[in-house]
Amino acid sequence: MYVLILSIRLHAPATAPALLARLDAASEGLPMIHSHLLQLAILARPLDPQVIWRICFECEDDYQAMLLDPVWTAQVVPLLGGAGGVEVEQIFYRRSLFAAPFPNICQGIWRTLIVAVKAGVAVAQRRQFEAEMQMMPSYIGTIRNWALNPVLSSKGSRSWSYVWEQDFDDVNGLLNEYRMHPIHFGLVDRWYDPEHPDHILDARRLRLVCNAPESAIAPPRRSVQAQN
Amino acid sequence: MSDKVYILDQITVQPGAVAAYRDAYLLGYAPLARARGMTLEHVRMTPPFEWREGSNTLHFLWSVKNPDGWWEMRIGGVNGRPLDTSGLGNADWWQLFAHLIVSRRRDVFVDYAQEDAV
Repeated sequence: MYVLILSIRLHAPATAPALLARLDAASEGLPMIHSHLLQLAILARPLDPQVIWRICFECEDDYQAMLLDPVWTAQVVPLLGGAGGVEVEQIFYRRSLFAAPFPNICQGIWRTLIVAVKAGVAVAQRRQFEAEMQMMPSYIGTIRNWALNPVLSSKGSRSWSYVWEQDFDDVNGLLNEYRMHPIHFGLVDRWYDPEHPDHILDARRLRLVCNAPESAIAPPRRSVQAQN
Repeated sequence: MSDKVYILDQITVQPGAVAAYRDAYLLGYAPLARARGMTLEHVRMTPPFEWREGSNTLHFLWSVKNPDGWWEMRIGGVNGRPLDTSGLGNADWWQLFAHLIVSRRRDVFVDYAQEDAV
């Protein structure tokens, strides 16, 4: 599965509902989209609303085909052009490393953190960072499903390195146990802390949180044919 | 058991630089740290004399009152955010005095009750 995440930050709050409607309508004309999550971000700055669009493709060719599709170029790209006072980040990656022990989670919270590794960081440090991030779900029970994947390409204000996604039942699971667990502040945070000698990540990060009717991380459920 | 979180800086300094580094740390870094809720618990040195020909290691043990205090400390220490009128941020401070040190590490601790041992 390949994924494109768009983070669209608006400087005119009133335009958010219209943008959501137009993107949703455009998605209907893009049959190469396998599934998608299109939501207004929560826990974001209220005067700077953020639209999150997470689009799944079965293969990379489908993603490339979408970029060339007239519906994308004529209906979506103009909305992302910045003329309407928007800041857009586009991150494309292959969702290959993930665990989804709770694939049927409903009406939960999808949260992602997108980070950039600083220049010159050794491969061994990156591997250690990846290993410790993957440990977090086994200690923090409110992380229901998770994925950690390197970015294949990105567009926007800068290039990005990793996408760290989690499903939670609700925001409390994110704001309380995830935030307060000692593995978070006592082990993993050192990669992020600019004054820690081990830190490898740029201080600028992209945090996205939204309601998720179903898991965005779990493999898409196959439709079940009625049996006669 | 206390919710306190401890932060231990272990800094090995260049030969002959231990007093200079201690002074720089206590006069420069410590006020920035206190401003974001950190409490300095102790300062220790090994070996226990000012070693002119070799490297001393200094231990600066800090605490914050709980994990919430940890995040308040972290948000206050984001690189590039001036914390006092000098405009110097915490991460900038480490760079400024990097020439005085051989190596450093920072570890995080919590209390681990002795009475729970079996």
